[in-house]
Amino acid sequence: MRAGDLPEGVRRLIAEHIDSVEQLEILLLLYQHPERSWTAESVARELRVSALSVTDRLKDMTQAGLLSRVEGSLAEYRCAPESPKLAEAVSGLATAYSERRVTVINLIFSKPVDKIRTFADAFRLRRDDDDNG
Amino acid sequence: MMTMADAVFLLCAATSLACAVLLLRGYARNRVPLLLWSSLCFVGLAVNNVLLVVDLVVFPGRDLITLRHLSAVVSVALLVFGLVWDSE
Amino acid sequence: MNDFLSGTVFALCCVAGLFFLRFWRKTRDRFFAYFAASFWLMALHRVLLLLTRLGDNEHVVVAYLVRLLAFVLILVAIVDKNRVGPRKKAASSRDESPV
Repeated sequence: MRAGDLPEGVRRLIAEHIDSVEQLEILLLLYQHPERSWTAESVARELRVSALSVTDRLKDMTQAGLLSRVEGSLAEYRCAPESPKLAEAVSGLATAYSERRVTVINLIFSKPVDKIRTFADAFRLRRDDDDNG
Repeated sequence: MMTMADAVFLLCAATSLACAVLLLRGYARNRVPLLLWSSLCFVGLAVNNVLLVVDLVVFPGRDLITLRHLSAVVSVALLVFGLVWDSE
Repeated sequence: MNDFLSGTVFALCCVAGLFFLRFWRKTRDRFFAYFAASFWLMALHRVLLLLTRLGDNEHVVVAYLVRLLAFVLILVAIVDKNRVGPRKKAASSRDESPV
């Protein structure tokens, strides 16, 4: 029921990278079809949302290391979490979203956790797990 | 006795200052105003602790009490303002 | 005037503590529990100071010990934040009762 019951990695993923349900749906769509590469248009058609906002989302999530551009193509993307930890978080998120959709959505909409978390994280002296790249 | 009190209050001051620095660093990274407010709070608390040393240990009997209280009020008020304003 | 200011600090510390309590409930991060406790101790410090003003000098050492404890708790929170890392081992070994 509570967001606190979601795995830590999943909560972190949401706190750091997921700002909307649309973005969540895009990420999971690409995650569920790892063999396919997607353009903003094909994602938009599949999810019935605007291709324009999908383009931005795809770029954001590529920057975040969740997706990557298909080599030799500017507009095609795949789900490719850049670390095993992140990959685990994404698959955890997929499970959580299918089993406890409301909890996940509530968590996305209760983003103040994000600000609060930056408060606690400010007291972390070393940050080896997030900025190694 | 003097040195003990000294050490205690300086520890408090150092702790506050450390918090202030860490929060400021966090603010520089994330630009979340909450961190700025709370950082200012801890700067104020550090000042408050230093004043306490000065008042109780260095010049006992001098009337710094209002100043001390004032610095404490300002610090915690800044923190509460930040919490109210920016934690949602 | 001074008593008024001290009382203001007391109230504000209580409020700050409540905020941290809420953050703790939201994030389940012990860090905030330490902070909440710390700010309430600062509030308690103000109460004890008032008691010493009312003539009970026994309390003056206790009052400043409480203040010290408040700051030590913040230190503990910071150390704890940096020690725990990704796993929550300390939490599970502390909690005796199954939740």
